[in-house]
Amino acid sequence: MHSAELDWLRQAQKGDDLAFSRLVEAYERPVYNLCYRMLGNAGDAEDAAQETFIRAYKAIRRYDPTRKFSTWLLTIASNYCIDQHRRKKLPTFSVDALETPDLPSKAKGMEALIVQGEHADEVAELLDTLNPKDRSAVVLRYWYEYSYDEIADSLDLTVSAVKSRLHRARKELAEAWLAAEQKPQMLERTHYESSAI
Amino acid sequence: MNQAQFEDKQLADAWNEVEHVFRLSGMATPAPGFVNRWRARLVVERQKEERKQAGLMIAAILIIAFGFILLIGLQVLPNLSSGASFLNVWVEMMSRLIIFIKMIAASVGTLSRTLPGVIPSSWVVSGLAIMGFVVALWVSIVRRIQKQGVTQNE
Repeated sequence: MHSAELDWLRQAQKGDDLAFSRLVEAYERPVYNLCYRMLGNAGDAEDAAQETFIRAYKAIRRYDPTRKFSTWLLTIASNYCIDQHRRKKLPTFSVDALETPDLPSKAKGMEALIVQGEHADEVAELLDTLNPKDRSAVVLRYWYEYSYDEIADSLDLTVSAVKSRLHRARKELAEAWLAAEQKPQMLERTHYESSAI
Repeated sequence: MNQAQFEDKQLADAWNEVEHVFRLSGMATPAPGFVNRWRARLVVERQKEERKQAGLMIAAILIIAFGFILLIGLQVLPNLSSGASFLNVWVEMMSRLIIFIKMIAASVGTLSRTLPGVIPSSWVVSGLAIMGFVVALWVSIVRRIQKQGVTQNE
């Protein structure tokens, strides 16, 4: 954390709104990204990110400065998103339920992936196959490069639980990827056979 | 390579591709003006909080008022001979209470409308404070002089 951010933090703890606004400005992107990966759409992500900062604002006096501020914020954000999932009971799809063959095929190659530029839909569909806590662990690991300890701290889990959740999540994501890959191939084959007939 | 090993390899390859897509997707960014929207939301949240506190205050006052009514009722109840007289007393008490609450509400309303205009500016307050201090000083000096006069006469 920069010394300026430390100053803002101290000022914010004393009730300075402007200092807290600067913290919001500094952390809006990581918080929004986590919410977006967790909830899958921009509207809900914006709402969740703002709610995260409101909650942080209310709890700033209780913030322990020995803890990393970004970890504290992302913990609030991930807990809020997990709660949102529970409340709304957002659907989590099974691997077989993936209908659209939107995921890029291996055959397209990595260059094709880069040309496509934005992978928001693919990533959202992949993450949608996971339960909220696993999703949170995956996002913290692969977007924020958090250690197992940091993820455990954020999600209130043990390190071994984090490891096992990440292992399971990786397997589910790989299976979802394979399933999405196989569907277009099957569709192509069916199409070819029907036209031949 | 047996079936299990083949499946494991397939999954490992698939995972590598998933990880690659994750890396390519980068960080999502909010629409410009996030901080301003957050500030506006904070204002709304504060207003909500104030309304909530006002609601809690009103609830507390109502509970206390209800407690008083109950207390008075319990004191009156043993002296009553029948249910009808209890009802009469109860209705009378309730109407008195409603009139009282209305009076209080009207007074508070009038005060809240007129007080902001009546509150003196800071220099008036300072002037009054200085005057009060001078008067207090003057009174204490006069008393001392009077006491000294009494002791000398004795």
